[in-house]
Amino acid sequence: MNANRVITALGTLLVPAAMSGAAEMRFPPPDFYSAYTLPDLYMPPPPTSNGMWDAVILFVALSITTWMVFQARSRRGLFLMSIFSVAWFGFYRTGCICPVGSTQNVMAGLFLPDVGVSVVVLSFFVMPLLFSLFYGRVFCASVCPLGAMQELVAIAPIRISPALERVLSMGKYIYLGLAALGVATGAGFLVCRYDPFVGIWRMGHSYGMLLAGGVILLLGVFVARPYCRFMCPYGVLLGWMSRFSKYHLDIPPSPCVSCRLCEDSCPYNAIDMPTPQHLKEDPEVGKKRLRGFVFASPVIIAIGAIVGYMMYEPLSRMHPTVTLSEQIAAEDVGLLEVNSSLETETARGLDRTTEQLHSEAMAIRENFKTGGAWLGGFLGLIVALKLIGLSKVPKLDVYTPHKETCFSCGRCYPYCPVEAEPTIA
Amino acid sequence: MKESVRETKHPWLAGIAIAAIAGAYFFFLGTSSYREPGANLQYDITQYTEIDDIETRWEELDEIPLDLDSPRGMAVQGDRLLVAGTNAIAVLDAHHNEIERYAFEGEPNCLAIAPDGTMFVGMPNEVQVLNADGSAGSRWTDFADRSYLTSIAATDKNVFIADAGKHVVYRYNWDGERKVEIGRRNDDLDVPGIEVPSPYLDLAVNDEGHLWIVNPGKLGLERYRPNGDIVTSWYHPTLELHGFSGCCNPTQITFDKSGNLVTSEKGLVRLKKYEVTAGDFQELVMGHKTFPKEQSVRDIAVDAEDRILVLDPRTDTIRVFGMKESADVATTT
Amino acid sequence: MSDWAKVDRRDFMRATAALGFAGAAYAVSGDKIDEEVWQLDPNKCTQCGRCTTHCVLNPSAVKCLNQFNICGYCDMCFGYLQPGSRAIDTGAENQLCPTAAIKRTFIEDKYYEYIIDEESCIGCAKCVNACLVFGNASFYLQIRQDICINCNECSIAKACPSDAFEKRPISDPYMYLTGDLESTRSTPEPEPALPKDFFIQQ
Ligand code: SF4
Ligand code: SF4
Ligand code: SF4
Ligand code: SF4
Ligand code: SF4
Repeated sequence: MNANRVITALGTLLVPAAMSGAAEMRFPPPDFYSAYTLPDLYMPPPPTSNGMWDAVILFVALSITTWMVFQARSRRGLFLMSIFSVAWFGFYRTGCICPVGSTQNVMAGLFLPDVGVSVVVLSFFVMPLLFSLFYGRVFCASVCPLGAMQELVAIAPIRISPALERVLSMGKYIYLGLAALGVATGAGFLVCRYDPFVGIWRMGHSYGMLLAGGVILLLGVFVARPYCRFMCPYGVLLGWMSRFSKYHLDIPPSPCVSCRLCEDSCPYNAIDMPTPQHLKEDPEVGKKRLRGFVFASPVIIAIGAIVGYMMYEPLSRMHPTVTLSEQIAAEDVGLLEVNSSLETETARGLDRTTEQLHSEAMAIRENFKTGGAWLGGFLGLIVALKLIGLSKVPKLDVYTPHKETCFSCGRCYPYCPVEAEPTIA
Repeated sequence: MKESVRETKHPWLAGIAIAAIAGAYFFFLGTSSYREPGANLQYDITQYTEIDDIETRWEELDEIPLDLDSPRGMAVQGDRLLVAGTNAIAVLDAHHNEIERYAFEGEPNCLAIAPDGTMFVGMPNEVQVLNADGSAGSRWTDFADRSYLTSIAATDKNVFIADAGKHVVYRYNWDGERKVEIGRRNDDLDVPGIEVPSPYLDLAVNDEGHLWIVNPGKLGLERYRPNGDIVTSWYHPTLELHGFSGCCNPTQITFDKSGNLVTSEKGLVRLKKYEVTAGDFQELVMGHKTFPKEQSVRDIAVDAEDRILVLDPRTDTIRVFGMKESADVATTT
Repeated sequence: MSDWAKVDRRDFMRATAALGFAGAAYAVSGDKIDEEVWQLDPNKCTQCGRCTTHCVLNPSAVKCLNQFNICGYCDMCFGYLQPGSRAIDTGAENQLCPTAAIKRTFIEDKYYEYIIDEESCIGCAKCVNACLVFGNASFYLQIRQDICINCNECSIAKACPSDAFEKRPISDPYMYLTGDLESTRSTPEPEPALPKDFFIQQ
């Protein structure tokens, strides 16, 4: 009640004052009889060139990790590198800006006409992807502070069934889609807002986010890298790149002897096993099923788009203007007390009338119809692709890391008994 | 360095535990919010806005809409009311209908009308004289760049012009010659100096011909002779009802028909009446409740029927306050 | 790793794809390639107080400043004094600022300079609010760029009810009440000396 009063007093006094204040601005200070002169304002410049240095350090870290993955083949080295990344990119540089978040800046540059992306941000976005295109997800191995943090706590990982893994990993596509929607409609940077660890690195954030970060670390002890596998939107892009990578980590340095020793080493379900004999089915059956899914995919995409379109209303609530307009409308019809929140209180005092606000919100809703359809279509496409992928029974003879989902973490190195062929090493 | 993956013996239990942890994660995400600024970080002056929540003898009678761009100055002559806005003066009759309109050039700050009907329009650093028939008269432009004229009063001999920018009041004669600068600090003459921290500096001449000038920084009034000698002064710096608050108040003054001072303030907008010579507080006319969102008002005036007119910047209208019918029982505080 | 150093046609395609991809990303990013930082527009701020509580840093990277050429150098500075304080003195109980960050310095008779000590200010906007209501509105909030860690999404920006935050090029990272930096510097024109007998004539 007290708080309410304070807010009322605040609202009534300040809001209009802010508007009528402009007229007073040009009023000169008093004439001083003494020799007093007005002090200049001290305006410390932002630390420049930091960004460029960060990019350089990122490049070096990526190079070292690549070397560890391919040449040194050292799990210990990658582990130490993870510690460095958490310490440097996480705690020292407080996590911003990271390649994961830079996805949104780049999308903003793509979608919004008046937004640009600085060279530093762009290089943060592009560098890990390029490395991924050539060497697989070395960025995830031990450079990404988010991944490294989870890699370090994953001390008692349990296996998750591949089917569950597949279902849950849809999460990251949804997150990527929502993040894109958020950027395109101007709702904000969801990935940054819900970044689980940035609060821990800065030792300050809302309590909820700190707790969420703690909880996901706790989860990460048993379910290794939950954020990476089920949420990370940048991981989607890295995975796509990695799928076509020129080189990729191999479990055995030379021909696999199918000793099955590495089978249990990967907590990420990223090792493709040799196809068991009884699963090797008649290729005609497989082809038929594949054909079926290929023909069904436009339907799946269309259904996705339609569902996404129909979801525009709840989706649009991620835009603050829409929520604000809904709140004000609810207040106006008496569902909520008038000036029930600081936001509505302030909004009512601003120059913008509530009608303008409502029509702005309506326009944003319209955008969410289109955006929702795109989002749904995108998810439909992913589902279709996954189904098509599923219906192709791999014909593998050796244990191979799955290029898209393998984080190149090197956990499997120590398991493989095959020695490197001396001629190569 | 060999890390191993465990096969769970109880996949369902593990699944439930994981689901619970994941649920907690989303719960914390969803409810995550920052601590809101507490009461000790909020500027709370409710206790002072409540001071004037009292019953007064006054009520709002009318609100006059104006067809003017940023109306800023008012002047009353007989039962005619003149309002100056950008490029025009609107003349309203006793029923508040516009009967005439005079044109000039500029964005005025203040307006005065002399007994013979000559009008003086004050811009930030210029005064334009309009003859009684509305035709353009002379223009006085001998003001400094940093001048900011905020108030004019015209008697049959003199024109007093308040310059908030230069912190001084000028006495001009009708020919536009500057005669005296009033209110500049002068220790020999015990003139304390007008302190003007913000662009509000008002003056008024009462029926006895006394020139009263607000000293806003000192939160009171000073009476001067036309030659610049100070006669008397009173200051009331307090947030209590009988005084003036903030850095600089009152912002506007005028006199009612019985010679009492009417003031208005900025910050907490209050209309009050004072006995002018000693500065004794008489009554509150209207308080913060009536002007909840105004930071200040543009001008005040008293019309022929002793009603108080307030030029409200929020609504760009003139609000008219009069005595309640049943106000014979004095409820003066 | 037998093909470590071999470059084949698919590599060229990959490289071309990568370059094209980088180039396209660069092209769409427009010509605003300056790095950007967050800043708040003091003319939009409504002093809600969230700048103190919603910054990821503690104390906040938002601090209060006094733009001197607007300041009235008031004796009764309500940005400085607790409303209702009887005495105008520097006793902590009479100060409005919860951290006593505002320093009052005597300049000359009835004029005082108010400077905010950046170390102690927590950016609560209490004084900004008071100065706006009762004074000249010369206090204002600003993100101090030497403190701010420039979050990709400023968490105050998201919470600010008056939408006062925006991104600015790193070369011009501050916003002022009156416009550009130059407009904060204007010194008053010198007062002409008056003839002593000016007051006595007539
Ligand atoms: S999946 Fe995402 S969060 Fe995990 S390591 Fe890779 S980029 Fe970082
Ligand atoms: S390197 Fe790849 S295959 Fe090996 S354990 Fe890690 S994720 Fe699994
Ligand atoms: S959050 Fe916005 S309105 Fe609130 S104090 Fe900060 S800038 Fe001002
Ligand atoms: S009142 Fe608040 S904003 Fe003003 S100086 Fe003190 S801590 Fe800073
Ligand atoms: S960008 Fe981050 S550090 Fe800077 S003001 Fe915003 S929340 Fe605080």
